[in-house]
Amino acid sequence: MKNLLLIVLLFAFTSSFGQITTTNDQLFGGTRPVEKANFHDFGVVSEATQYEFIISNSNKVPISIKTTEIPEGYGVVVVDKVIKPNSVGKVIIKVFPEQIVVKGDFEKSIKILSEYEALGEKVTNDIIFTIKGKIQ
Amino acid sequence: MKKILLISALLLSSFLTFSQITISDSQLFGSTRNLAVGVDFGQLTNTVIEKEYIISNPTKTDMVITNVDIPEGFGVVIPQKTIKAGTFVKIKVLAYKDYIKDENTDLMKTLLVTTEYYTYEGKVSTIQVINLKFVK
Repeated sequence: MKNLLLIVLLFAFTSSFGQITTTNDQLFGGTRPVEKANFHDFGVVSEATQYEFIISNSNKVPISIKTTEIPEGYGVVVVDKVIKPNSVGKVIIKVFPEQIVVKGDFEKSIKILSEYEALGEKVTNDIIFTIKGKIQ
Repeated sequence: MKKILLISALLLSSFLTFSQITISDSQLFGSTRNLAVGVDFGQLTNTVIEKEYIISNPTKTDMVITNVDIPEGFGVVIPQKTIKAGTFVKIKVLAYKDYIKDENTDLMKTLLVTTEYYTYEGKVSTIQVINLKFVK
C-alpha cells in the first residue's frame, strides 16, 4: 500500500514537470496553440495529394525559410523562400500514400525553421504545421 | 660542455613550447562536413520534374536525415529518415518551374541535407550539399 502511494505521489510529482505540447509559430514572441491555419485534415488519402499552407509575415523585416524537418513518406515544397514584410508565403505539404509504410490514421508535424534579422541579430523561430488523415 | 647542454636544453624547450602539433583530421567526429554533389534537371517544363538522389551511409552506425534546406521552387520527399549502416536511401527532389522566381534561364540552386549519427566520441552532423542544375 505504501509503495503504491509512493508511486502515485512520484507520478504526480513528475507530471508537474510535463511539457504542454503546443504547435506554434513563435514568430511574434509568443507561444500559440494549434491554429486552424497551421492544421489540415487530409481525410482519407488513396492517391498523392497536397495542401498549401500560408505563412504570413506581419513583421517589418523579411523572413527566410531555412531548414525543414520532413516526416517519412511526406514531401515539402518551398514556394516562397523569402517572405516580404506584410505579405504571405506558401509551403506545400504533399502526401504520397505509396511511400508511407504504415497505413491507417496518421498525424504528423512538419517543422520549419524561419529566420529574420532584428537589430542586427538573427532570430530563428519554429513554424509547425500539423497534418492528419488516413492512408488507405 | 655546459654551453652545449644549455643550447640543447634551450632548443628542446623552445621546440616543445612553440612547435605545433599537426593533426590530419578528416573532421569526421564531432563536427560538420560538407560534401558537394549534384542533380541535373535539364530543361524545366510546366509539369513537375522528379529526380531521385541517393543519400548513402558508409558508416558502421545508423544515420538519420534530420532536416533539409530546400531552395525556392523545389520540393523534397524523404521515404525513410533512418539509413541503416552501409546502406542508402533514395530521396525525391521535385522541381517546379512556376515557383522558381529567378529571371535567369540557366541556374543552379543548392539543397542541403543534414544527417546525424553517433559514435563513441559523440554526435556527427554532416551537411550534404546537393547542387540542383536546371534550365528554365
